[in-house]
Amino acid sequence: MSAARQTSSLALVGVLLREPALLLGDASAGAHDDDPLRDRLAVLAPRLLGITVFGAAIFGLVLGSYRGDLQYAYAAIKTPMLLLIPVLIGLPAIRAFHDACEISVSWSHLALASLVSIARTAVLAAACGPILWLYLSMHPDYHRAVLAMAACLCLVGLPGLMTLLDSLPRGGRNRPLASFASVAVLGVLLAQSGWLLRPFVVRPRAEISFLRDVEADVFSSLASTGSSARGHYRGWDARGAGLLGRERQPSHDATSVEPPMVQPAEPAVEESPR
Amino acid sequence: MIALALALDLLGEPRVLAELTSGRVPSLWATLSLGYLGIGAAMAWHLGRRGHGLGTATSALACWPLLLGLVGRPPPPTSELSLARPTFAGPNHARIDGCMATLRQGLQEDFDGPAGARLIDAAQLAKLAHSLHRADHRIARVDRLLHETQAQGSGRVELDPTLLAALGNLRGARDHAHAELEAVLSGLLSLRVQLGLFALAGESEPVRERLAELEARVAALAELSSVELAQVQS
Repeated sequence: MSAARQTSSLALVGVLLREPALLLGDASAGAHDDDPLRDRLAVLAPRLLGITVFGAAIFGLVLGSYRGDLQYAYAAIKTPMLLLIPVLIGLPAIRAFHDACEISVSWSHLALASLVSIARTAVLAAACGPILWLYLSMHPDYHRAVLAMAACLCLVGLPGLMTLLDSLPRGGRNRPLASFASVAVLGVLLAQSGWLLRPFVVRPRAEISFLRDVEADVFSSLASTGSSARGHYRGWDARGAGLLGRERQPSHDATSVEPPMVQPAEPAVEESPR
Repeated sequence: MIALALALDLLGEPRVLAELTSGRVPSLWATLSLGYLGIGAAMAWHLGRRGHGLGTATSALACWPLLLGLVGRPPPPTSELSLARPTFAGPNHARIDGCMATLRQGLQEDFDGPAGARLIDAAQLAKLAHSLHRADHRIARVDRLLHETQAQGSGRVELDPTLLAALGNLRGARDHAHAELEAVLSGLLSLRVQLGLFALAGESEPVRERLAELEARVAALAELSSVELAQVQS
């Protein structure tokens, strides 16, 4: 095993699942000499991204099968973005957290660790695909379908997250704090990315669209759902509070709107045939 | 775009393209997306100029923040991927192997047939070699830890006095373990000499006693390392 060899993509998937640490090489050497890691990043990045896109697209196809038609393609395009966007945005924050805790981690090391963890998540998501597809083919309720999707994502996201945290250097002060902050940032970014990229699961009779209108953020939606659950129904629209959702804020207050009085229709008088 | 329009028209969804291009996306989104893709295109062009492959350049187009470390770097000398497990050979790895090989060779040369095997079992020797390599491996790990801490200390991070004291204890424990390992290796060489004497005189008891003493010493070395490292941690 010590000799260098050309690894096929299928073998790479096997290594991703069995021993992802091998893809990072000697991480401790990378802390001081970044060149081998950069070379490894240049070799691995296209293949890991390809695996990520392929695996996540399979999972997206399964999600799109709940509605069918164009939703197959839409979900297959958006699911890789759902995995990639949080890492692309959150990488500087993760590095800053570790720097603050006196854990020196190079950018290339962090990037490679992120790519490995995303690719592992995507492969696991693709592996979960048949099970989810079987469940969705039984035409469950829309909310159950969404919950099944979320459960699958949590199931496959956890090993990916652990891979990322295990790949980062040890030592320093308050490493658990840096790990917790990194997980929190990635979690928030994943939730908001999923919110912006929705819909993934579309009701069978609903209209298909690539993206829904920007409605505030995921937390506004959760607040709306929470208040609805407590009996204060304000409609489905989330309240705009963020930068992108400000213009979409409804101009009227839904709580103050009285339900329209429905006048009882007069019974139609049918003329009896004479 | 034309291909996309034709494909959507073929699928019977011509209004989707209109939806995509009708300005439903806020201008801020469009600006951010174009900026992101523009930086990605510049980076892909740069990597292509430096000689990186098509895959790397295409990856940079979509995920350029991940590939910032490749800016200004030539492509790797080989596209082959080594998936070797990192090995942490200790500083005395070769010496231990040499001593054990000498001992085995002595057993084979001085004793023909099963007499040597009766005196020292092959499994016994393998176990001794394994224990010695483990002790040497621990020394290597402590060396790496000390080296990393020293590198951090010489840089921007200032080490506190408690950590410095712990590092001093760790260094002392490492030196002690190394000295013990040296003593065991010397004992193995003297055992080789005793084997020759046993072949001449036929006294097997001192050889067995010497080997048992060395095994006990190696076992004590492992326990001692654990105790000393625990003291360092506390």
